[in-house]
Amino acid sequence: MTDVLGARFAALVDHADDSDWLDVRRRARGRARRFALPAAAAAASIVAAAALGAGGNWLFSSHDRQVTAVTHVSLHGQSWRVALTTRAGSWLSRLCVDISRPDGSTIDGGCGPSFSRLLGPSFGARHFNVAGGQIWTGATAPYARRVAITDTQGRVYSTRAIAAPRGTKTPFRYWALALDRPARSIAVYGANGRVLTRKL
Amino acid sequence: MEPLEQLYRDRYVGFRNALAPVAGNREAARDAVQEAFAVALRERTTLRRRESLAPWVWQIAYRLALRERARAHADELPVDLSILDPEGDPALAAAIRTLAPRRRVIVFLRYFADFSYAEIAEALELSEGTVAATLAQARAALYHDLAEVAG
Repeated sequence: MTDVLGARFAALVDHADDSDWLDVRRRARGRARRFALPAAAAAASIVAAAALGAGGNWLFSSHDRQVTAVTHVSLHGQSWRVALTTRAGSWLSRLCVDISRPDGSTIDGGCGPSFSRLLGPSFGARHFNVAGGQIWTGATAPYARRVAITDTQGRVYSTRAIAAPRGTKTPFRYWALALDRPARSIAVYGANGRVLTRKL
Repeated sequence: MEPLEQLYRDRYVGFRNALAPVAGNREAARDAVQEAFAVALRERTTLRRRESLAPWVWQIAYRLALRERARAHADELPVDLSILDPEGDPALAAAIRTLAPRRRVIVFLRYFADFSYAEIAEALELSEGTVAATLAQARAALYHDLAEVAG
């Protein structure tokens, strides 16, 4: 009896393996680095070199007032690298996006306004059609805590919007998602419960 | 390969699937599992008994998922149960949705994460007897619903 139920569960389960042990190790190191930041702050100010920190599964670096945030998203079990570059401290800066395919080749997403007229600064979203789906990413308003995208079949993908370390002085919160299907709508959830949605 | 990495490679998919209904969707579950293993990697020296590894990581992931849902005011988020592929077995998917939350978590830990009774008991801080009884009740409820559908 149990075996019958077990077999039916096995047929129901999502077998897609998007595991990434390197990401686990990166996160473990990132948290340790964040704890170590106060001790390193004095040295950093003397050297005046690039600021570096990690939040969530994002890695941040800054140089010449440019802030670059890098993460990886998983699509059909393969890891895509997403890099966003903005100018520190400016809402009107240009947002540059680079996407790297699993084989290492890159898609130059180009640079554009940090927010589009369609979506506004709450979203700051850009998307790219790639083999097997879409990759969405953005640099959103500071109040954003989570971004959720619903695809054309009603499946919801959501992720945290990550703030950069203070040293980078960027107002944005960063996020990225990989979708199996085209997006239908996007929503930003604020810390105070505020929700903004847009149909796409 | 150290035990934690072995556990990750063996059970990542099960952890993610079992956590998805708690986290709200597949991506949030993945994030919680990744973060939980990262925490475990940093804190593994505090763990005394190797046999407790899986329940310990599950507890971390479970708390992270609950905390993240609360922080994100996730009640506003539509819960995505597409992890239970309705096209794969619509009757079973529907029956699972009728289970009480605790029963559902125990069922998912058993069938998706491949936890033993002892591991479930340790992960949820229950007695093995309670786990066995709850699983028996959940199975009975599932079979009852499935029998009704079968007519």
